[in-house]
Amino acid sequence: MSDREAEFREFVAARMESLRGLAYLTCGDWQVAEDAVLAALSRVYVKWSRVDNPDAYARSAVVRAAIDETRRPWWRREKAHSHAMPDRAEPDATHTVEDRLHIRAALATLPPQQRAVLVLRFLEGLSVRQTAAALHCPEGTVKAYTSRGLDALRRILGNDLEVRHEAAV
Amino acid sequence: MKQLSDLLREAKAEAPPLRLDVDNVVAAGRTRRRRRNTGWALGAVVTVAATIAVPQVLARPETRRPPVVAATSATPSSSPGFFPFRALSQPYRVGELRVEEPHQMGVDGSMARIERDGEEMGALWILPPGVSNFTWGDGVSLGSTTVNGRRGEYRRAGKETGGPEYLEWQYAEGATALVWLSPRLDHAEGKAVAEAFEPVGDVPATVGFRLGYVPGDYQLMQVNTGAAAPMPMRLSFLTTEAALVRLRDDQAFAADDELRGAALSVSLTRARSSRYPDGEVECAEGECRLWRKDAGVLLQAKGLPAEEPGMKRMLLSVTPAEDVPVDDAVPASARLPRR
Repeated sequence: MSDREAEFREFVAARMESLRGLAYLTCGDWQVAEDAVLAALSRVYVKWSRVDNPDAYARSAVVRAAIDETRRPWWRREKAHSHAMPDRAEPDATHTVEDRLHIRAALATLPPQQRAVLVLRFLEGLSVRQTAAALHCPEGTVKAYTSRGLDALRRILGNDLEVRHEAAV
Repeated sequence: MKQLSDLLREAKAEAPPLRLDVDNVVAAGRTRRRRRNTGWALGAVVTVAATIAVPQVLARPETRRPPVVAATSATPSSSPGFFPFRALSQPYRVGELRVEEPHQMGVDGSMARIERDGEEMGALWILPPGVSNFTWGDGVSLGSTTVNGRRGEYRRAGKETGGPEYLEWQYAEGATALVWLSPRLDHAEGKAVAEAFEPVGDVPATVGFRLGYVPGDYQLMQVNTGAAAPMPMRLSFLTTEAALVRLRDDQAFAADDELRGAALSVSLTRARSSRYPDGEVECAEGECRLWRKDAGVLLQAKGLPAEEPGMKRMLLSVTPAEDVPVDDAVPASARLPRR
């Protein structure tokens, strides 16, 4: 095994789980998210020796792959099959679980690209410029999607939703 | 006050266990690199061939014949009375674009990726003659066109701006096809792919394993051949009741959670190593896994938790093999009768 491949393996082992979470929040389906991560990381593998910032590159590739997955014509059927499975049994019925289901339902009402913008900005902490670079879209689009996405979430989750980067919107 | 970042963190909690590991990612990466290299090599060959062939083509009168649907509706001799899972297109090139061999065959047709330099640009979806029950909700027309003299239409699925777009056309009387577009595959390129498509006949789908057992009254609905790496090889089933609704009314099926829940799938991924024990089926919450070190494969089944005993038996009935026609890969009891 070459040093580069060993580096890549280490990177994947450390980041695959969190990248899958990112993809899941973007596409709303664990199985599709895993397909997106596999597709994106296989591209990263090919370009590994030319990638300066693996974290940023992989994050961008995974989110765009997750958006692409939702645009595929076969996605709806795949989603249907994947959604066929009931949610995992929850360990208890606390507010945490309620919040989780609530935010998942709220995110599901947004188009994938808006979800991606919110996730990159408010979970990953990226700026407007960094988000635009990650999604390969203009900064104006990021600002518009941020505003629309937050409005939609507030309509569903209530006005007590707090966001750290709102001043930058 | 609820912090959005906390809510997002919470939303991705309680994730199901990962199906794949580092070996799978590396294997998918190697496959992609090989495909890229092959794609470039093919491109060079095609460029040379085109340089030689173009003067001859230009010198000849237009001899293109209108498409004819040959044997797509013919019942294959190996599976009399069952729904055939057939590739309805074959690989071809249009400029820099390459339409791959179909990787997914189902009751609603076959699907092939459209690639440029090894990167996915869109998809070609061919429906069998007479099948038109697919729906994309309240899509909007983006304009009409003609494809080889037949009417075609650019459409966007759903009302949402930025929704996926496609070109739909009739490739033969009563036979519909779609080119799925993307920001990297524009209308003109989609039309070029459509115009270069020629129907093929009886090309059976193949998979890399045989199933000796399928639980309950599940019927095979879709086959993923694994040709579109890294998507795994997968057979997907529905109960007879759900399958009948799905065939009759796709929208009613899509809107019914209970029917959609009546699904089961089994997939095979190449895996030389795994976190799972060799030869033992592990099931949890509607997912069963079996790693077979001897064959270097990870088998996974997914369905309702109540089906776990059946899924376990199904995984143990798998025999890995090369290029098994779907007709021979699944017991007759799990095959849809032809209508």
